[in-house]
This record gives sequence, structure tokens and C-alpha cells, in this order.
Amino acid sequence: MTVNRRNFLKGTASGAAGAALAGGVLIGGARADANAAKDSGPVTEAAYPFHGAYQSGVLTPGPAAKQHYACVAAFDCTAANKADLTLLMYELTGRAWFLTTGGTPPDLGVGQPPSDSDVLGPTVPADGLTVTLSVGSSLFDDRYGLGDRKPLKLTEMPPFPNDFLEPAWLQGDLLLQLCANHPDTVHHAIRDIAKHTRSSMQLRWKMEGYASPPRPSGTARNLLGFKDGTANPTGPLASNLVWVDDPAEPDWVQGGSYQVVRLIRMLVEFWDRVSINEQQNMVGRRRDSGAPLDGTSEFDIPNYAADPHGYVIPLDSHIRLANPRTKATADQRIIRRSYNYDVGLDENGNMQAGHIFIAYQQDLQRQFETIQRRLTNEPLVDYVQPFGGGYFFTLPGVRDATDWYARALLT
Amino acid sequence: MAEIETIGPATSAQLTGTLSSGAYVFKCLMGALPETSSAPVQVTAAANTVPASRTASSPIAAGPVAVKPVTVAELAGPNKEYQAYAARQLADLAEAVARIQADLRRNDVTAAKKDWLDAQLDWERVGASYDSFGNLGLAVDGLPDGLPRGVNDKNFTGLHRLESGLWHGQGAATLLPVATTLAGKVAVVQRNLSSDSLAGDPTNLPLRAHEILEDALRDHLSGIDDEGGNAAFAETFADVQVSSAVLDYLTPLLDARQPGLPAIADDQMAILKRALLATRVNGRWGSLATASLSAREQVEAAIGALLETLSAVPDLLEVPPTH
Repeated sequence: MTVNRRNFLKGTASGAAGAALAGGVLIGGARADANAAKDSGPVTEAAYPFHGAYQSGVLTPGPAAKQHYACVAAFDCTAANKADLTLLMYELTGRAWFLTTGGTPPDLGVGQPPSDSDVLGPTVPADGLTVTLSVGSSLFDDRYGLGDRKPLKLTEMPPFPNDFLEPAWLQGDLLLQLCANHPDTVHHAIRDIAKHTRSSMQLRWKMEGYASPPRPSGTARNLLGFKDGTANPTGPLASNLVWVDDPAEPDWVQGGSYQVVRLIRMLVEFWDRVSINEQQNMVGRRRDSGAPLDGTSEFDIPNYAADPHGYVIPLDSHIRLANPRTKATADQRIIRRSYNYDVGLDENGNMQAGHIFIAYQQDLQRQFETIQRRLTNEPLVDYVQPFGGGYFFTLPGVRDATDWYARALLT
Repeated sequence: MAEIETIGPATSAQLTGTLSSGAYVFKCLMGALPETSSAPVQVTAAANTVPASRTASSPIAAGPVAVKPVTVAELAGPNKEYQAYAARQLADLAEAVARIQADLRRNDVTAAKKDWLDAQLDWERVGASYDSFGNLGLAVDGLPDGLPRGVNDKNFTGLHRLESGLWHGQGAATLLPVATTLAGKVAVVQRNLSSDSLAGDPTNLPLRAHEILEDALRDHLSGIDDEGGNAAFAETFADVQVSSAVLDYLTPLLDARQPGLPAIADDQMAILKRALLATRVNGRWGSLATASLSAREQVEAAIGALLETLSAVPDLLEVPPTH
């Protein structure tokens, strides 16, 4: 067995932070190593911090090193009033903290059913779980008296041209993004959270996703077979594009992020019947290497100035419309942290598969909506059908053991 | 504090319990052999390593609870009260089935549909959940699923058979024999109510307190047992009524073991009833399909929270095995 020593040491280091959890962390660490050895891709960690100025699951870990499995789950609040909504936030904080830290669930004795499902065994490993909580615009309606505290840019997601929106897959008062190193950990987390919050929130829709490893190297491919996320901003640039830092916004909003979730069906059968040249012209990159059509390797920077008529990279190709790489469009960039999904069949017998598009940004209108408007009627729209999702606001982080989700919103 | 109910000869299994610090001895009470004891074992307290969860909204206190064992004799009284309640519902059911027969004799399908709902709700209030009335219960309330010929199977009988026929255009002449057979089966249930295979066994009563509403969620609110009558919300309401009665009969035993649980469950039942009533349109029960998403979510939230509370009842009132 190949052991990635660097990651092994990291695993034990995070174990030391919570001595009681060392067993769980080591198990997770060993599994993370196994992924690394098999896929030669980015190494996921055995645990990510729960407390901090920002929530994990956005840039911790970032898109290039994100966990391999995810679920986005939208909930509607059934809490009777603001006091109950506050109790819900306490409960969610407690569950997310426990699940992302790991440990032994409480023994309730013989007078109750067991406290935990044991889906992850008697000791719950953190297994790289991140729980990222966002709120939708509907939470700010008249039910909880929060109308005057709504993040300035938060609206319902409008239908865009070429969308095929289905109400059953749209919006929600809350959105949980759960990511982990294994799918059973994602399942366990959502089951646990739902069990503890039944009176106050109910699932509205959910979709499980998976991330592909690099094939064979570089950025992971989506189900159209193209590398997806090559141009994602990283490092300080990503931070500057993602976290809200705007004096015009309510105080409690600072340190959060606007989240776009789009469930996008990919018509993979149709796509597979399209010539490689047409595919590549629609995307603007070579399918094999991921290189821009004017470059030789994935991370070459396209030079649109040298190709003003789009003879090499068509003017209506996806990458050119999405990111024209001009000074004026630099602050429109978003952080994409997307997953693939596969759920069964459509009525017409096609595989129902596609893309859980997840993007984070400071400003929905300046960033996502501007890009999405530029993409209207791009040639790719024939092969994809956005049908669900919504706009959400990802809460600022839970800072420490005395803090809880949405404290600054609710107090 | 902890138990393993079955452990075979010459096998081992782990028993996990939470003990406070102190000295403990293991005692062994093997059948015909004299009692034996181990040397004292010292337990020292250790810090709880689980992050403290803020569970203000959770009705059940965290941490292991020592439970006073319950006896069959203690459950016998509450079960008698339940039997009397169920007998009253069965009498109502018999009258409703007789009305259906009369409706069908005069070819009044509209009246038969209305009386079918009365009958179905009377049966719900008998509390014969999770097939606890055996084959006789199935004869009254069985579903076509799992039968080789489905709704056309000759073994598909009873209330749902009537529902299926009434809402799928079958004539009174076809359905009258079904109603007559049903009347006979109901009479048998009435005569045998106190037998162990129906409502006689007191140890089933704690299960009923939980399972009647599990069935409502599983079979009614999923739509799986709807043969056309669209009665999911009405049936669930009737299930709350019988669950509330069963909980009443068990309240002294429960309060002695988990103080406050019956009061919490009572409050949650009231919330569930309100959520169910809110699905009514113009004074009539609506269907799963016509209820708004938010109305259904309120029902699901209320029944989900209630079931989490009630799930402790069978554990708290489980009669320990005797030797």
C-alpha cells in the first residue's frame, strides 16, 4: 500500500486538535490516502475546521481540492416563529459541529432508540465533511420578521432564457451543502440533521453529486467530457471575489457569500452525437487536454486580443462569453464548486445526468447574472437544460463554541 | 441502563453502558444454578468527549436514562381501556358498513362513497396498525399490492376493495357482495377483539402508541394506500385520535419513566391536528395532490416531530423477558 506521508501527518495533526477523536480522524486519513494513491489527484483532508470567520465548504477546501461527494439539500422552515427559528439554528449548529468533528454519539440507554444510525459505525469519523448553511430570500418574508435584514442582493433566482425551471426543484428557505470524502458520510449527515430538526424544517428537494478525479491530470472533467473549472480564481483573488465586504450591506451579512445553485440536465446522448470540432468550438477548449483552442496546455491563457474575430476561439464559445478576460470583466468572476449528478431516466428514456452548478460570489448581479446574461443563447444551450436550484446567501462562519449559525441575523 | 436480550451459549457480545463512578459487581443468575458474583470492579469518571449539542428544541434530555421495568400486569389495565375504546369504534364501523350495504342496495353510489369514508375512519380509530390484527385485519383493510392480480385479485377484499370499486366506476351490484363480506369480517373482529391475535396482548399497547402514526406516515401521507378516495389527511386525523387515546391510557406509566413525555406528545398531537385541519378546503378534506406544498410540509413537520417523541414509548414500556 502506498502511503502519502504528507497527508498522513496532516491527518494526525488534526487528530491532535481533538484528542478524543483521533481514532476517527486516522481512519479518515487513511481513506483519503487511498483516494490519492488511486487517482493521483488533489488530496482531501480527513477533517476541515467547523469554526472560523468563514464557513468551510466554499474555499476550505477550494474547488480544485474539494471532497469527492456532495449533497445540496433545500429545506423550507416550518418553525412557528422567530424563537423557534432561533432554536433551529442552535440545533443545526450543534449537529454540524458534531458531524464535522466526529466522535462517539451519546448513549441514550435502553429507554429510547439509539441516538445514531451507525451508518458510519459506532464512532462517527469526520471524513472530510463540511456542512455549509445558506438562506434563501423566502426566509425574509413576513413569517419571522426578518424583512428588513435581507442581504441587499438576495432575490429569487429569475428564469433565464433557455431555462426549463420546475417548481419542485427550486428555491427553499435554507440550503445545506454537504461535502465529504465518501457518500455514506454525506448520507449519514443529512439523515442525522433531518432527524434532529423535524418540527422546524422540512426537505424541499435534494440532489446528490460526485466529483470526478483528474482524467488523467489537471482539472476534473464534467459529464460533457471537458475539463471544467480550469479558470477558477484561487488564493487571495478567490477570497476577494467571494466574501461579502460591502458597507452598504447589513452588518450581519459581512463575511458571507452569495451562492448560486443550478441543477443543469446535460443531454449526454445528444452531445455524444456531435462532432468533436463542434463540441470544442462550443466550449472553446480542446476536449483532450483542456487547452484553450489557441493554446497547447490546459492552463495556457487564451489571448482574445490576438483573435478579435474569433477565428480560433469562437466569439460565442462558452469560455469566451463567460470570462472575456478584460479589465472590465475581472470583478465579474465567480468561484465554481460544482458536482456531477446521475439520478435515473427521463421520460424519453434518456439518462438523467448532469451538473450541480454551485457558484460563490460577493454580488449576484455584478457576477453571476452578468455572466449568465452574456451566455444567453450560446450554442451550448441546445445540450443543457437548467431545471432547478436557486439563489442563496451563505452565512458568515460560526466563530467559536459560543457562536451559532445566523446569530447576528437573529439577535 | 443497557441490555442484550439474546446471547447464545458459548458466544460473546459487547454490552455498552454508561455508568457513574463507583464500584460494581457482575451478578450471574443462570437458570437453575445459584447466583454468582464477580469481584468488585472500579469505575472512574471520565469527561464527556462529545461536543455539547444545543438541544433546547429536543424534547428528550440527552444522556442515558435508567428505566424502571414495566410488567404485563401494569399494562393490563390500560389495555382494557384501549379495548373498550376499540370496541366502540368497531360498533360505529359495523353501523357504517350496514349503511354502505343499504346505499348499494338502492344503487346510491354517492352515499356509499360518503359512508365508505366514515367506515374507513372508524377502522383507523380501532388502531389496528402494522397488521397487528393479523389476517382478520387484512380482510378488513388489506391492499392489492403484493397480490398476483392486484386490484382484480379475488383476495383483495374489504374497505380498500370497496374504495377501489367506488372510485373506479364499478356498479352497486358488483360491490354489494364485497360490503356484505366486509360486514361479516367486522362482526368476527368484534367477537374476537380480546383475543391475543387482535387486541388482547397488553404488551402490544406501547407499540400501538408509536406505530399507528408510523403507518399514517408510511401508508397514508405517502399516498401508497389510496385507492381513489383521497382520504390521506382524514385517515391521519383519525389515527391521531386513536393514538391520543392510547397515549392517555399509558400516561401514568410513561410519566413514571420519562416525566413530561406525554405532555410533549399531547402538544405535538395538537399541532399535527391543526396542520391536518389546515388542509381542508370549504369544510371538506382535501387530497395530497391539491394541498399546497407548505401545507403538506407543516403536516410532515408535525408528524415527524411527534414520531420522534413517540419512538421512545415502546422502549420505555417494553416488558423485560422473564426466566
